[in-house]
Amino acid sequence: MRVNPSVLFIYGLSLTIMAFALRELSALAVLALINLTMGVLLGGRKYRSLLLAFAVSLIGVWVNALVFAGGEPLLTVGPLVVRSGAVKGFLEVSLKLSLLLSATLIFSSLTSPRDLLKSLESELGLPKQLSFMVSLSLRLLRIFEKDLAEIQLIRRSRGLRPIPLTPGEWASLISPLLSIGLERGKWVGVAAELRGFSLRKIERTRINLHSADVALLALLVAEIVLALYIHLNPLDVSFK
Amino acid sequence: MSIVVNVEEAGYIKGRPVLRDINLELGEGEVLLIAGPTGSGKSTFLLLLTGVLTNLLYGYVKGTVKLFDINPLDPLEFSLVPKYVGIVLQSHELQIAMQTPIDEVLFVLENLKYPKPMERARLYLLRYGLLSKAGEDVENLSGGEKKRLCLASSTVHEPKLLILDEPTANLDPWGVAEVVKYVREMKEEGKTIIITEHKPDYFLNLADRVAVIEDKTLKTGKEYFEKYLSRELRFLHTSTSEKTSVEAESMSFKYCKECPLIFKKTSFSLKRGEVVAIVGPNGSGKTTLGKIISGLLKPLEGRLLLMGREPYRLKSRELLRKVIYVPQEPAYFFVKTSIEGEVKLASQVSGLEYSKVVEKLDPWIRARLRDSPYTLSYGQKKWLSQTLVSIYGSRVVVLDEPTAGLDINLVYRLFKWMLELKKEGRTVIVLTHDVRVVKDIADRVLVVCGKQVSELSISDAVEYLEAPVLEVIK
Amino acid sequence: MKYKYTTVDLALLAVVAAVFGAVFTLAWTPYYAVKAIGGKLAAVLLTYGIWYMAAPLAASLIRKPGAAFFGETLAGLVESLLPQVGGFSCFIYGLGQGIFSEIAYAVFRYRKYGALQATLAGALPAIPSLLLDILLWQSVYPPVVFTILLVLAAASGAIYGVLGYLIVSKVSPRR
Repeated sequence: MRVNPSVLFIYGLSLTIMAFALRELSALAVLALINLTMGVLLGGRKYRSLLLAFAVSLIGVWVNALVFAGGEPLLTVGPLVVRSGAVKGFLEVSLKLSLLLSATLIFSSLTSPRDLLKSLESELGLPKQLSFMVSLSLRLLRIFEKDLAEIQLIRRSRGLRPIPLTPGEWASLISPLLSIGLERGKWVGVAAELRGFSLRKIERTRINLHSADVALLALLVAEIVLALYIHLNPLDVSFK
Repeated sequence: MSIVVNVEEAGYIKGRPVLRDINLELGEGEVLLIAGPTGSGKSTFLLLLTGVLTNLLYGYVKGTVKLFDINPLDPLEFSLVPKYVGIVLQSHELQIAMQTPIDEVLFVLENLKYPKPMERARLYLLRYGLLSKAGEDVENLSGGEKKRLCLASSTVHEPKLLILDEPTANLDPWGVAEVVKYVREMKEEGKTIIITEHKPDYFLNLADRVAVIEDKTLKTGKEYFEKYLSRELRFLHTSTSEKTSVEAESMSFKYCKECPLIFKKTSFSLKRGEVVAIVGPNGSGKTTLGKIISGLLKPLEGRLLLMGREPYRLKSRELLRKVIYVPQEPAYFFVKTSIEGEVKLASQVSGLEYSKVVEKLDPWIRARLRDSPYTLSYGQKKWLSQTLVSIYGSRVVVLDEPTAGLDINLVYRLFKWMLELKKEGRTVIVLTHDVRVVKDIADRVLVVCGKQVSELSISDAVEYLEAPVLEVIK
Repeated sequence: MKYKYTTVDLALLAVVAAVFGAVFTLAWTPYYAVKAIGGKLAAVLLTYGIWYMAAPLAASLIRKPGAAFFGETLAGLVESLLPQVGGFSCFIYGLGQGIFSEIAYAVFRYRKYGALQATLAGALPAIPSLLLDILLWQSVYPPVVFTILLVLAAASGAIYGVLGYLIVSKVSPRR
């Protein structure tokens, strides 16, 4: 299935914004159900490690909810009191987080950052400077991750913590990366300029929507309408 | 004349010229080879020539430059430079801006509005043997492949002038041979070519003109060039001890469960007080071996012993006394934000008194104790890291590509330092492609190839490293 | 003239974004470690500023309007485009933090890029970052907790803001 990368980006971003904005539990539940199903079907296998990390983070959410939430005690096991606020808080936050996760799963399994940039540049008219910066940093990220691993190894060999804790340690970790980075930045800029970057003019092509794109956009509109509707007419889900 | 340079002064800050009295005339189709010490202004010369110095880097130029029919110093004509010039920089990390080969090549064609860019890009990837990797992430390419990609993306628009800034840096002999072959092809096509190189022998046969950048100026002519290259490096090969320092017993290694094996049940042993060169193709596992010896990685099976102990089991202080690993990039060796901090840390670990250590430092280091190590030049960074290694006093020193990016004088100083280490009975392990290490200072050579580490005689090793290149130079 | 971005400036912004793209991930380990030992408040004080640091560092380096905004936003965007649990939320956080950081330089009319501006540019992003946290987590944490967090996050940001400025002045003293 080929879906327009820009459409996927808009869809993922909208889901994320809804995760921030929505408070209604039932609306969150419906959206999370639809999108997590889609996300897991599309990318569950490829991104199994993400699902695992997500599950682990849910444990953290649950612990926080137990500690901080108020409300009526629902259950008492020895010194542990489970309050109604904790259950509601846990559900709400984990539904929100699962929306964030589904956005990534759907986006990453159907397109790549590289295709997104091309589509944004030619179809939506993203300025060339922006797309240059983003693609360059995506490439540099891989290099800096390797460099970082190397620096950590050497820190360990010179008797220091590989993962910094204090601001001073952070400075000693970021400085070498930045020092090399400045050199790289200067030369990559020069090289790009000498390969005609300032002459670059990408012709806008009309955005070409296929049935899959239309379907996804329609789904998005439906989800927004549904969320609004539930927001205005809350279902009666109570934890009293 | 297609390129004419008449420049009185040029530099980054007015009144502090980096280059002076540069006069050059280069005809179409000529190949100019430039040598010169690190930091002599070779790169600045290339930036001056292409107009980058004044138009992008806020530098200044007193004089004129003519590049075919344009004046690159003029801000308006500067934007036309890309149509005439293709440039290959020292390191692919300094040049490749896109994530895949096809995008990297398309970038130029799209910028210059070539008709049918995709067809042309594929043609050039084919020519440089990269078509099958067109959509691959650049980081998954080998060093040689990345260099070929740089060549493809700087020639795909058929520039009249090709500039190669140390094109063989960091390449193994097979990669060097490829580059030389492609440069010859381009010469045959009639391109004007300017090459700067620390190891100029590779291109000597192709060059019509030779020059040296020294004392801030460009000296053209054979006499300067030969004088510059005539420095002798040779040291004696001597082995001093019979005690073993490093010993591997049917050792295997891989990075992760699914990763391929890097070493498979390999065994070897090294003596104390030796200079050992470890050679082998890019990606064969030289660096990995260096890190295993340094206790930074743990073998999967078998054992590796460092003076009778397994290095990865040692505590960092004890490990440092036995072994130290020096990465190719000197900036990554530093862990403090001042030179003082670096020296203090090193003296602390080796149990020396800081004030005494400072007294013995080179005067230039002592004068800059407050500075950040990152403000030093490349050669100074290397020097500082060597000084720190001396302070640590580790019995085994692992150097990863120590000659990379160094001019002949710095290489000479490096070799002298290695001899000092040897005199103190320390073992020096050099992971390298540089035939000079094997020829001039190594006592023994190990080759990493096909998941095994085996010994080569010095003469075989020299041939192993030189043959691929000699074949294309002839 | 001095406000126009050259290709080298663009590349440097990409470098800052990539450096922090790599570093941000690393910050989670000390965050959780400190949280487990010293509690959430200590963790916020010690690590939150790292996530705000790309902005003051980029601005101190490039010294042009918009550098703080782009440095931070780009770092968030790059993180978002790669598959990870937080998804596109990193982009939204980056955007908010970038805008607030930029304010620190805008109120000085882009004439100064010193330590004071970097301190502010580090502290201000605490506001959008905590507001977004409230939207996402309010049902778990009570408002009092958020107020304390805000103060600590701003303090942390100020520390790392100055640190960003110092790193730039040490690593690239000529600019």
